[in-house]
Amino acid sequence: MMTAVTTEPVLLDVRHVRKYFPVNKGVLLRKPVGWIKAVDDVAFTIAPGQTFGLVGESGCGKSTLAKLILLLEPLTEGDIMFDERSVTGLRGDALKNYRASVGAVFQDPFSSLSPRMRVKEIVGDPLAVTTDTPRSQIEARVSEVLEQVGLNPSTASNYPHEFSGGQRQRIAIARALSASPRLVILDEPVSALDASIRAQIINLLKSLQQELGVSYLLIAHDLGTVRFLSDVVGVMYLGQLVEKSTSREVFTNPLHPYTRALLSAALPVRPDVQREEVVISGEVPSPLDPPSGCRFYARCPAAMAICENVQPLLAEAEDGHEVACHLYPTSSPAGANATP
Amino acid sequence: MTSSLPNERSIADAGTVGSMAARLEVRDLQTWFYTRRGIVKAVDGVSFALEPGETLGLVGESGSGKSITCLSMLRLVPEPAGRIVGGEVWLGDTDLLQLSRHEMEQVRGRRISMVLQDPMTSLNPVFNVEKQVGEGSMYHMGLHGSGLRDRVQQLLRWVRIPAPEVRANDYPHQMSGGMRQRIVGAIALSSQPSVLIADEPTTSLDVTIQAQYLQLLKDLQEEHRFSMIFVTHDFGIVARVCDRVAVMYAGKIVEMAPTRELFSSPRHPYAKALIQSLPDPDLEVEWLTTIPGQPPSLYDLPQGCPFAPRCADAMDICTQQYPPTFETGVATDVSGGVFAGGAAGVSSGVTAGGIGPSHTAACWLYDGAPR
Ligand SMILES: Nc1ncnc2c1ncn2[C@@H]1O[C@H](COP(=O)(O)OP(=O)(O)OP(=O)(O)O)[C@@H](O)[C@H]1O
Ligand SMILES: Nc1ncnc2c1ncn2[C@@H]1O[C@H](COP(=O)(O)OP(=O)(O)OP(=O)(O)O)[C@@H](O)[C@H]1O
Ligand code: SF4
Ligand code: SF4
Ligand SMILES: [Mg+2]
Ligand SMILES: [Mg+2]
Repeated sequence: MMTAVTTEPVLLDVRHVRKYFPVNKGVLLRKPVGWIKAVDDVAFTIAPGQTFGLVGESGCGKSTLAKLILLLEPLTEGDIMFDERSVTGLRGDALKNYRASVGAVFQDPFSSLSPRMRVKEIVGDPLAVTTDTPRSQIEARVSEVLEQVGLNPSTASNYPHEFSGGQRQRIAIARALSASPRLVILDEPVSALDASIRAQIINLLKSLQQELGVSYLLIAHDLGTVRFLSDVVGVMYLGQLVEKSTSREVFTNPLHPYTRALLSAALPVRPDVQREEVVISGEVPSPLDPPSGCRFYARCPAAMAICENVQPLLAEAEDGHEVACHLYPTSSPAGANATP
Repeated sequence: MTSSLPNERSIADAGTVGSMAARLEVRDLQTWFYTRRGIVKAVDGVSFALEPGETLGLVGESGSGKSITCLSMLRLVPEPAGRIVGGEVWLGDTDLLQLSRHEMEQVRGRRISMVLQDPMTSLNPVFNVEKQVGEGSMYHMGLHGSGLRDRVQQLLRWVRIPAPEVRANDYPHQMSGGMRQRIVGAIALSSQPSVLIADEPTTSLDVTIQAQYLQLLKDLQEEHRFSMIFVTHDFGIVARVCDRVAVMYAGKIVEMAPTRELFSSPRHPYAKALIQSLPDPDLEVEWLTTIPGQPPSLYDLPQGCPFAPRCADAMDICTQQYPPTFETGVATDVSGGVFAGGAAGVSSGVTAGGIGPSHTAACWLYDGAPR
């Protein structure tokens, strides 16, 4: 089943990927006693010049998915295509090319910056490693991107520990953008920035996209950022995509009960605004032993009998709007009965 | 928002740590970095006070000195480049800056706990979660064996780690970003401090878990009356948990106000501009609003007010002399009246006349002089 929302050309095609981590018990024997199903059959595509926003509960598998795309973790199952070529078997120059085409900002900007490299080396590194750009041009490019992210180019000789949290996050963004990649994976790229610099970075990402046609996979808990930048939004819950549509659809017409609860829990940006909250109660379920039916069953305010044992399928419930929930007949496998 | 606290509500059940609620007062704190390129005045004359049970929000520009202010209070400024060159940090009747290293170690983690901005620097990659979360309870409460294990699981459940009995065996790298952040939170809460300093503790949490976590902090605070300093860029969090807010710019507090006051009538031009650049998620706009100009470089700050190059209200005096802190008057104080501005040099807290919490700004617009 192909899950492209539109019929545009595809840059990145994530095909039913899974990532299971073994759970070991005992310090000495470390024998596996189960699996953490961090990513459990996720499929989506990103078109050139498009932004795919990924949101979901802490621990639902977003960063793991990003690491799979960046080839930092091997897939347990499934495939990932870039430019219609599988990236899992890439070697040599083809692998180097892929790495040059995909930039990344990691969730943890502190540990992802090498402590012994100067900022200019960190930011210029992708250019130096993946292209033949002469040194003088690299330095000019480094100054340019530092300025774009609101850092003074005169600090280019400093080391990462001499910067604040938000400044380090911007160094990571400058690094991801320096080699003009075709796809950038942004895992919480603006979480440590004040409102003004955050807006500056978001505007920058958007204008680069308009000028150069770069694609983004944006992972963020800040729903305002996701809404502003994304064309398509996917909502993840416990290792799986449970809803996917255009950004406007997801934010104005959320279909999945989890998405509804998530949107309602967002604190208003301005404190004077009051909103009604849908509270999700109940234990946060574990990817260690996911429920056999709907994974949201134990916490869902709309749960029905069918939900306990039958897993809902991600399917188009409204025009261009996919959801995995038995409230929508398209999600229930043929023969299953979705009455309360 | 329902309380997320389970039945085993009180930390004190598991043994009493007995930290006393105490007033915290920071006076004219200065922390500078001595670098190859010159002196960086990361914190330059910061003063504020915090009553037991009160929560102060610390907001402001990225790089303005929020984290270094917090680290200075715990005397964790990275040496030798960084040095606390002046000021006092009073916890009750003790100036923490005068304590010996050994005495300070007794205070740290016990009377003042801090959630660092970067969770990985406070987690040890070679120890599992159970060991790291349990350390404080073992050390401060004398818990061992199954009592300690229960306590660790209680703390993990509090911060919403799923399947804590299994995940307690995990190492930090096996946790997601938001889980690590909550582990660090559990460690900070484990020793029941009098002051909890939280530096961006929820940046990796989704809004539902964040809401539950904030509620947990508020419930524990109500029960134990510890005071909190909350560093954040998220004004939704400020509105939900903070009584007062301090706004920092270039190493200094430029405005201090009760939370509602700050939002309804910000005084300092930087604070105004910051609040104006908050996006309205329900409005579909082409471009987001930013404050024009670049953030200042702390290596060569301009003379006078560092915001002057970006300030639409800048006057001649602004480029010559740094403004003192002026009382700007509280628009909605308890008596319903308006407090007239003009008293220079007020640090923070309660106004001299006891009219209500003060609203101060370091800006020449409020010196009361005719212009
Ligand atoms: N190397 C690993 N070994 C074992 N488990 C792992 C590993 N990496 C991640 N996990 C687990 O996989 C699940 C998904 O983690 P992931 O980091 O992808 O979550 P996330 O959606 O990015 O969450 P957050 O929003 O908190 O960053 C979590 O339960 C996590 O503990
Ligand atoms: N080791 C160091 N050497 C030189 N300058 C430093 C060092 N550590 C921090 N600084 C500088 O001190 C200033 C204050 O840093 P701090 O970490 O307190 O900022 P912050 O307000 O917490 O910012 P953010 O919101 O980005 O975390 C920054 O401009 C930073 O560049
Ligand atoms: S399938 Fe059932 S339990 Fe799952 S989200 Fe839909 S209604 Fe709720
Ligand atoms: S002191 Fe002057 S330059 Fe500084 S914020 Fe006030 S008006 Fe603007
Ligand atoms: Mg993550
Ligand atoms: Mg900081």
